[in-house]
Amino acid sequence: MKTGSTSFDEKAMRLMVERHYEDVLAYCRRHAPVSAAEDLTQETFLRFVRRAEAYDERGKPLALLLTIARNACIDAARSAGRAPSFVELDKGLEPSQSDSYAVELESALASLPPDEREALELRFDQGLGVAEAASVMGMSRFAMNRLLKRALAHARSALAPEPKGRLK
Amino acid sequence: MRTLEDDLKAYYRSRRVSADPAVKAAVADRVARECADIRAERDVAFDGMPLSVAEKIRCGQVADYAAFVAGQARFMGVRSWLLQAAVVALVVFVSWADPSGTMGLFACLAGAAIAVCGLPDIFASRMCGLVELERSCKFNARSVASARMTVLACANAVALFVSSCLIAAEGEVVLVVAQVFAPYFLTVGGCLAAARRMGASGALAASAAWGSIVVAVAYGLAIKCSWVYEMASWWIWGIVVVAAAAWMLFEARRWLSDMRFSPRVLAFDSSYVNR
Repeated sequence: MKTGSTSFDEKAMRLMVERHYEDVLAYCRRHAPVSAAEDLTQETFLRFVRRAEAYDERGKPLALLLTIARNACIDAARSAGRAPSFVELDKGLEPSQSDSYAVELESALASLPPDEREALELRFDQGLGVAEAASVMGMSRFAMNRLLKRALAHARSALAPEPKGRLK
Repeated sequence: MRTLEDDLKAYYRSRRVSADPAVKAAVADRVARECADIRAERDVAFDGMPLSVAEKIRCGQVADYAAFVAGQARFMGVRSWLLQAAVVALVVFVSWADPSGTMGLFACLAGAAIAVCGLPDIFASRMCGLVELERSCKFNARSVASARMTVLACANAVALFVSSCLIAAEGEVVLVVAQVFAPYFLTVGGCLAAARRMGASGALAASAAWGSIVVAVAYGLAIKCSWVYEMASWWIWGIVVVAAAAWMLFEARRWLSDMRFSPRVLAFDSSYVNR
């Protein structure tokens, strides 16, 4: 995407929605009630359009979209009078009991502090680089590196005793 | 062997829910409509009838900007003022010490030197990477650059004019003014053209190099074609000063219009430049 007046190109913005709608929706589903996730996703893209001039070709546009989505989720949580946090997945999305490792991973992630879960999500779900994940969470690259290492260590210890040969 | 990182990626992938195509299409339409609305608003704001000077004064815009320019003059520091004063003093001293010398050459040297010594203050804001930060301010990077250009241009014009009057012989003031402003315009234009595409150190080095080239050409003309500096060649200086002024204004306009981008965006390998 180009900067300046070309940011208001409808075609480019449609392409942006096409590429990143699922990513933003996945983030909003985890950080806001599922019923509000679609509205927040739309709000994210609208805010992106309004702030398009601020996008300066630095990193992936997804990083800016997720930063906006994060703020939108926080705003929504504030207006609902509660602290922003991870929400429980609805029943239809829960892993089946037969996939025991997925269940273990789910509970291991649930046991992590919210910032560690969010860091893992940005890094391994959204595929952001360390610097981009750091900018989304408003911290330095070094702090994000430390947070990721800590989160992985906590996840490993939460998964222990690990299944034989499962994890390195 | 699978690592925890691989498992996390697989886990998150399995948790992804495919979006409802109808909702996604509706969001795309809504976003496209918002784009069109914003563009329409911008078109009205920028292509509508501009405010007249009287309206701007009534709205306080002129007073605001004047106060801002005055503030920038304070923030510019003493370096550029001292350098300008030193150049003027040096030129006056040299012309006084060597009254038989080519006054036009002294004028050219003064023009190029004064142009180069003020530019670091204009480049400073952008080269320090503050453009993104300043974008959110009422007076952003472009305002800072234009204010500093205004201050510096006024100061330079006074310095150059004073130098011209002090070194010019009777009846040659206009010619010496042209001889002092032509290299000044050329130097500023070249430096701005170079600075648009370069980082901090590169821009300053290129500015110094371009200033040296202008000085070298002026000196070469004094040695090889000294008739250029004589009164009979006034028309050459007239053409050069007009052309150089036009080029400088063109480059200054491009510089200011690009001020909202960081130097990285305008670098040679940028997708913005190579779009």
